[in-house]
This record gives sequence, C-alpha cells and structure tokens, in this order.
Amino acid sequence: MKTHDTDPTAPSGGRAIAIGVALAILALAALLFSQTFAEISAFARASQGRGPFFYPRFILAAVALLGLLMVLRPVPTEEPVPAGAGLRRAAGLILAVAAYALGLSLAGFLISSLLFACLTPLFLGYRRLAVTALVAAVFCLSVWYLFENAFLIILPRSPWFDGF
Amino acid sequence: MDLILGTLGEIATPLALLCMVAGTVVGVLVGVLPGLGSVVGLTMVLPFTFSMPQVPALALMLGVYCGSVYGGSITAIILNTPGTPQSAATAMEGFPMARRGDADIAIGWVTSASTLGGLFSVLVLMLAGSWLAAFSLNFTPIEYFALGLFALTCIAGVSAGAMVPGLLSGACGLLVATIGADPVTGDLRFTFDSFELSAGITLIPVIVGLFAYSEMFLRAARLDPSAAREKIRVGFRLPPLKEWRSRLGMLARGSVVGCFVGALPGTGAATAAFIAYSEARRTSKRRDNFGKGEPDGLVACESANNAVTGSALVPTLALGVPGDPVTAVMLGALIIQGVTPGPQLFTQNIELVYAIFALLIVINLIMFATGALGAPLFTQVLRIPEPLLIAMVLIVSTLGAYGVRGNMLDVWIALGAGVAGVFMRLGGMPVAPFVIGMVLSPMIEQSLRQGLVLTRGNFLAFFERPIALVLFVVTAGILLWPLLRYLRRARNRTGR
Repeated sequence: MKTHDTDPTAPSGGRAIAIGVALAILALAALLFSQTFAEISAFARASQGRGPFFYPRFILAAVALLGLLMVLRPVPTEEPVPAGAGLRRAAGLILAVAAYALGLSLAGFLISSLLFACLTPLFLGYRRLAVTALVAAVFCLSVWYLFENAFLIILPRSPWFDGF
Repeated sequence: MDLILGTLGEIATPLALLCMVAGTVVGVLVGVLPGLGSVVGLTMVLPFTFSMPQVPALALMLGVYCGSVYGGSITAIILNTPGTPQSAATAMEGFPMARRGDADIAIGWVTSASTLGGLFSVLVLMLAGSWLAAFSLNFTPIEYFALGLFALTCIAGVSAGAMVPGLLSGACGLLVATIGADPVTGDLRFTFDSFELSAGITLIPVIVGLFAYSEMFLRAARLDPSAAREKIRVGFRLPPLKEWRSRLGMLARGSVVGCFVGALPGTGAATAAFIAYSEARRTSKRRDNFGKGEPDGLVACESANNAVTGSALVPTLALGVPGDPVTAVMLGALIIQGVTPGPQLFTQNIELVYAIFALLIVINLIMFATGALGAPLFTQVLRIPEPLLIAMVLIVSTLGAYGVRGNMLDVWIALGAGVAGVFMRLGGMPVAPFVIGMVLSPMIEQSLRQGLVLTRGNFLAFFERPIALVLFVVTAGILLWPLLRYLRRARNRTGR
C-alpha cells in the first residue's frame, strides 16, 4: 500500500482554497477586532503597559494587511487538493475523529478507542479484520496501561465500568 | 586530579549507570509520544529520586531531560508529527527525507547532531557557566523583547517561497497565543465568556492538530489501497564523514545558538531550534534544498535544541533561577536532594557541579547509543499498513492533546487546528510559522508591556540599552538584507 500524489486529486483548487483561507482569517480578525473594545479593568486603564488590547491590535493590523495581500495574490501550492474518493476519505476521517472525541467524553477511553481503532482502518479500505481487531486490542490496552499507570495521566472513564 | 577521579568514582557506580540508561530510554519514549514532553517525563520519575543518593537521582532526571528532547525528533521524521514542540523545526527537513526513503540516514543525522550539540553545551557549561549566568542577569524585559523580535525573523526564514502566507501564518500564531488572561493585568481577552478559554490555548494541542491530525487527514486523502507497497529503508545509518565535514560550521552555529538561547530564562529549546533552522536556511550553501530534506536544517535545529539541555541548567545551577517548567522541576529535584542552587554552589559544592558535567557527557553518549540501537525499532513503524498507522497515530495524538491539562477542550482545539492545518497546507500556507508565532508571542508581549512600564511608556528608551540595540540592528539587518541584495542586483543590471 502506498500514498500517491496524483490520481484522486486536482491541483487547480489550491488557489481557491488559499483565497478562502485568507477570507476566513480576515473574518475572524474582524470578529476579534470588535472584541478589543470590550470593557477593561481600572488597573489595566492605569497601566503604562497600554492595556490588554494594545498588543493584539498590532497583530490584528498585521493579520488584516497580510490577509488582504493573500486574497489579492494567492501563492500556488504544491500540495495536491483531494478530490473524489480522496476527499471523501479525508472528510470521513475528520468526522470519525470528531465522533471519537465525543465518544471519549461519553464512553471513556478504552471503549471509544477500541471502536475507533477497529472501524477507521476498515473505512480506509484495510480489509484484514482479524489483524485489525488484534492490533486494536493490543494497542489500546497498552496505551491505556502506559498512560494510566506509568505516566499517571487519568484518561476519560466510561460511566458503565469501574476502572476504565 | 583528585576531584576528577572522585567524580568518576561517583558516576561509575552500577546504580548511577542504571539510572542514566533507564532515564535516557524513558526520556526517548516520552519524547516520541506526541504531546508528552520533558515536564511529563521528569514529574513521572521525580518520586523515584526521593530515596536515592544525590548522583543517581540527578542521573535519572538528566537522562529523562536529554532523552525527551532528542526523542521528539524521531516521530517528526517518521510521521511528520513532532513529539515535542522543540522538534517542530526538525519535521520540516526530516519528514521530506523519510518520504523519499531516507528515514534511516535522517535519524543518523539527528542522533549525531543531537549528541554533538549536547556535548558542546556541556563544554560551554564547564567553561563559561558562571559567566553566562552573570550575562543573563543583564537581560531586562527590553532585551527579551529585542530577542523576541530577532527570533520572529525565523518566520521569514522558514517561509521562503511563500512569504506572505508564511507571515500571515506566523501572525495568526501570535494572535492565537493572546487568547486568555492578559499576562500583565489579568484581563480576559477573546474568551467569549468561556471559562475554559480563560486559561488560553496551549501549544501542544495546536501542534498535534497542525502537524499530526492534518498529516493523517491528508494521508487518508492520498491513500491508494490498490497500490503496491513502497520499499522503505528502516534502521539507522550514520552520515558519511565527508558529508559531516562540510556541515561542521552548521553544527557549531546551531550549538552556539542553543547555548545562548538556553542560558536565558524563559526562552527554551523550541525557540533555539527555530532560530538555528532559520539561520541555517539563510546562510547555508545548500539553501535551495531546504524544505526538500536538507541535512543542514536537521543539523542546525537538532544541535540547537540539544545544546539547550546543558545551558538551560546555567541559570538554574548558578543563580537558582529556573528558566522554564523543565528546569523548575530539575530545581525541585535538586532542593529535595539537599542541594542549594545559587552562586555558592560553584564554590561550596564543586564536586556536585563536576558530577553534573560528567553525567551530561555520559548521558549524551548513552543517548547516541539509544538512538542507534532503537532506530531500527522506531522505523519499523513505517512498515505498518497505512490505515492501521493512521488510526494509531490519531489515538496517541488525541491523548497527547488531552493529557496536557486533562481537558476535552484541548482535544476539540486539536481537531479544529487539524482541519485548519489541512486547509492551510492545501492553500499554500506553511504551518510551522504558526507554531513559531505561538511560541514567541507570550515572551514578546510580556516583555514589551513590562518594558513600557519600566520606561514609563517611552518606547524610544528601548534603543538606549546596548544589548537590545545590537539585537534590533541585527534584526533590521536580517530583514533588510534581501531588499539590499535585490537593489544591488538591479543596480548592477542597469550598470551593464
């Protein structure tokens, strides 16, 4: 199995994405700029350090200027833009990670990770079910043990079982 | 002579040697896992040191520290997923090398540069430790601001070929770092009344998202289940001596940058690595190869981030001032061991200082052996079928984001950064400048605001401090140099 840079991709969309990214950044910058007029504390007003929004306004000005430049002159990218099956796989994987994050809160680490580790390879076209199940079980249990007992990082628990 | 023999006797005990090896291996493992860094590794082993004698306890802590700084580079090379923030620069050259099938030699470069950079910093610590500590005391917020601006030139350095998108990415990183409580007055900024956001957005989830998540999403898009497996070289290969000889200057420069930046409290290995990488990109004879897997970049950033390990101990040992959370944990371990760091340490407890020097030398050599012996194992990762690998990397990365604060918000931030990273990369916007911006923003803002308080709001007074003035001039020189070169070329053309 290997990755390739040509088949499921269309390089022509890069310019449109660059403009879209720049416009999204400009919109976000405008939203954040509106927040810089929020009420500040009396201590901040008296400070010689010019208050909490002094520095962010400089950065926002730079973001606005650079964002406009990028909209006007987007740089062509070497990264091929996914299309067709490639795009579906990437979008599906993003949704799978979102579901996994949700699952962590609802079902705890072990259950959600086992499901994620079993279903993701299937979704990506890997059909050796026994290998996937074995790898998922060994990997998830090892990671769980390592984090909980060696690194002492308490992972999200399931509401149904004690201990995991 | 008695002192040297006594030091060797202390570090050559079986327990001390075991602690050095165990600490280095644990450190490399912690560094390899995205999201876990030196602090997690050190706090993990700290309880084991309580009942140990001084030297083995320090051996364990220093082993974890050095190993974790090195370990982060392995996943940066193999998976484009930096294990620690200081390895983010390594991914820029290491991953392209792995992609063209040279993961083994990339790990060889990184391991040897890390070891040599680490040894260089021990030498600096031995020869100039107390001088560097005294020099670092001259740094007021104004000098830190000048240093921060100087470090910002890295963004231009790593954005060659995509200057506007690179600068925009860096500016976005600077901006995102301002979310949360204002460092000077404590006022909340850009939190939209969210309690969770009042603590700000931390670096690790953003790195996990921009590098690990976005790489896996794009790998999934490019995946071709019907294609045959690529031949991948796994293992460890040392670069030929001839190749090394032409890069000794790069190694020296990277190590000097690491030693200097590391000795300044509050800076850290990530800043050092980015400055060294940017300098290498600017000055290398092979600068056209940067971004495509150029060993010069690997040598510069790896020697710099490992040189920090020795020099970061300078303010900790000589002044009792921890520069960052890592050295703060180290300071805690020293105090628990009954050592009082400070100027007297170098006069009243010189045996311990020599033992630390010797431990660092041996640990750097053990680190090389760990890398050489462990690399074949680490690079086996490349043989795992890609769909399985993608699932495993996403699980570990998610835990890395979660583990920083035990907070699900960080997982969602990582996912958001991952999606943003996909669009940034597809839109020709490099992601590394974003990380540089986030690393430098707190230092720049805090020092600027504190400097303005110190000078009663007079910014011109910033130029009256000699060290700051030198840094401002160098920064201006670096920024203006390409323009001057362009103008000179234009004049030459019109002259002809």
